[in-house]
Amino acid sequence: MRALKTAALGMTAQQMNVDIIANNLANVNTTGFKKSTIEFQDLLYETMQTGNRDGEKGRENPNQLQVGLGNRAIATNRSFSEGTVAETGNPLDIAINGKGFFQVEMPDGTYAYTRDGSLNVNSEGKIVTNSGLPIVPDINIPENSQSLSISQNGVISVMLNGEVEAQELGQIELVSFMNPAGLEALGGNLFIQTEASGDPVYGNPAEEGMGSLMQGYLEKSNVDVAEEMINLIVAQRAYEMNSKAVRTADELMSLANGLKR
Amino acid sequence: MQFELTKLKQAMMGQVDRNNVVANNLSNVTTAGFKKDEPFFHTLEDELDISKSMSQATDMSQGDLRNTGNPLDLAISGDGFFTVERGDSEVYTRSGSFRIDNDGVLRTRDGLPVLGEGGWINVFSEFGTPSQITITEKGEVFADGELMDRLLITAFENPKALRKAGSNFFEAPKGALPFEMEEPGVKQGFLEDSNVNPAQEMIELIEVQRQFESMQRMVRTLDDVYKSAVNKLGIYR
Repeated sequence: MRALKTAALGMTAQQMNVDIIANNLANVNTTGFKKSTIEFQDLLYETMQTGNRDGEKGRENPNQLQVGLGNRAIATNRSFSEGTVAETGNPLDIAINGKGFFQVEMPDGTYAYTRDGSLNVNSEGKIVTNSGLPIVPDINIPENSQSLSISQNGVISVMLNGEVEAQELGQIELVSFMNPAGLEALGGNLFIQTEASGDPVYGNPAEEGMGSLMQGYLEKSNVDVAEEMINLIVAQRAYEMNSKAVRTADELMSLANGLKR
Repeated sequence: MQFELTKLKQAMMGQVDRNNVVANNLSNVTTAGFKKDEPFFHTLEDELDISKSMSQATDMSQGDLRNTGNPLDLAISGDGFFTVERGDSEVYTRSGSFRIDNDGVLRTRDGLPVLGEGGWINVFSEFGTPSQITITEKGEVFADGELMDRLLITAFENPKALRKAGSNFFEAPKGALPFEMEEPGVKQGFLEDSNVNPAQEMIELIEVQRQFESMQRMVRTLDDVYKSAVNKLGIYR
């Protein structure tokens, strides 16, 4: 009874589908979160009878019988469509209006990328993310600065105490990827590059393809609750259908048992 | 009489195979690019020389196109298959979920190279990684506006001869007669959903169960007939 295992694999796959949807729904309010979908692939086929068109005379049999053995999850695909932008009024909240990413330095010296622009200034005056990772390139905010402004092209300027002219401190750099869907999620709203995403392309905000910065705004999650609900219904029904296939296989075996009295 | 039992056995085994095929369809109800299998039965010839009473044909009808927005997700609207190199042969797929490796080669999720008209498709130019990849309806691959290659979209004069090879691939045995499509309908940012129709599969499941049941009854009736033959006719008085 292959059907039992085949349908069980289908159920496992749908379970994983529900896991992904649940994670999307859990992050419906996470800043800069990008939703994922799961992709499946069919498994091996057992060829029980091959089509035979040029066989012996009178025994031609053009029909074949190939029985598939179920499916498996091969990949999760992240959708990098932009989320809605919400105003916060906080001068260190930045949304990227385009496909760029902020680059941050991890504690081990490697780089990660994020769309979460809720930034802070740490005790050394560096601009860091909410989890304390410094953004690249380093920008130091002097202690006696009063107001901070970030232009659309990422130039950070501050007004120092007692001065009338604003002082430019530096420019935020963005990176973009050829195939952002291939980025690997690290958690904490961070992504790292993979073979599939390609190498990062560096550029300044508001340059071609990067997107301009919006100070005082945050990008919300791009999860669409209605869409996730529909996916959930599909996953649940698909799970149910597979369980029906298991039941039918069970019934067939029970009937076969009933053959001999 | 022996003969009837053999026929019933064949028919029951056929229903079991049919159940396996339906279970595989249901298992792949959310698999991108999956094409469902339709089980069907033949009349048995008197000599019973066919080992199986059931066969299957793949329904190549179009699945729904689902928008994913990812530049490396491709779907084909209409006929044709993406051509993929596996070992020293070519396999074909309708599942266009691709990626690009470190050297810029377009590959499937299993890491097999996707073929263009000029062989493997490499999207890296002398300037390195492109920032944007555009694929037109005709399958032309542009990296930052520069034409790199054209996807090889293969169609078949006799698609019925195609065999499934697993992992969303099809193999083309001799007689499938492949040819290159001039005007394919490649859609960037879309994936093709499975063409399994759940309602139809449910009905198949009901049919399988009831037909199996009725054949089981027939076997039991035959069994009763044999029993009376042995116990009543065979008694020597």
